[in-house]
Amino acid sequence: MKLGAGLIATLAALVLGLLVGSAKSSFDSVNAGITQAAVRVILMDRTLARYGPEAHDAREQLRRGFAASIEAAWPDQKTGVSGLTAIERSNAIETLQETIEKLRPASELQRSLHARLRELADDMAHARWLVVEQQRIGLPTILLVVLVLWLAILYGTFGLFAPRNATVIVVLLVCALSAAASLFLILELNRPLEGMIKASRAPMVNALEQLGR
Amino acid sequence: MRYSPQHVRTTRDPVSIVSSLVIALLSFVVIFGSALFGMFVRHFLPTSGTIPGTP
Repeated sequence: MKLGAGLIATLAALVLGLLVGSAKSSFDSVNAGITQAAVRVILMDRTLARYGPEAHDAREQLRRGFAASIEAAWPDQKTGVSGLTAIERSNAIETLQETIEKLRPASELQRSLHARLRELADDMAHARWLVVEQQRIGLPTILLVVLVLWLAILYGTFGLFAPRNATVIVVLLVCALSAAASLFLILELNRPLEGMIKASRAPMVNALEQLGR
Repeated sequence: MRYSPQHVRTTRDPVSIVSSLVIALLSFVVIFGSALFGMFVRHFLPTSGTIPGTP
């Protein structure tokens, strides 16, 4: 019986470790995506500034759209709409792309900057949909069910071997809480734009402060 | 149609619908409950001599 419990403990530890690692890397990749998006927004603002007064409207549109996106993805009050859905619904990038397309470059420098602006806008749209589509791939439910089943069998075996006293019950309670906490972390880190543990909005807020300077 | 836009829009992964906290709490109940169940069952199993502490 102890050998069986050892086998299940090893399996559960392996799967838990892999899931925590995978969830953390998913969380880190979204954080990196957010930082890259913030950098692209600053670069776009600087490029629009270099383009000249013709791009003033586009700059203003970029600032307003960006502020609205931050507010939608990281609302101060609960809106009932997740950050991911807010990013999916936002059409700020498409509107900005249209405005950039409407710009008519008059010199060689403006032509070069216009090409750069289109490239940046395409990169921003690409990054946005990449985040949305990556987040749609959730944790397989069956994996979670099997993991909880393994843990339940393992803890059942612990209970079978342990004497019945208060100390043992408290220790088992703390261990079960730890296992549940690891599952909570896996689920939360897999959804960086929703829930209690969210990706940081600091790069976006810093970028917003840089706009218009 | 299986992959019509309406169908895709309304069909979400069950894990993403239920809050992470609820799933974690349910898991805790199942895991800790199974430990208590194990302690309870121990006294009814004919395992004398194989489980330490049993009569």
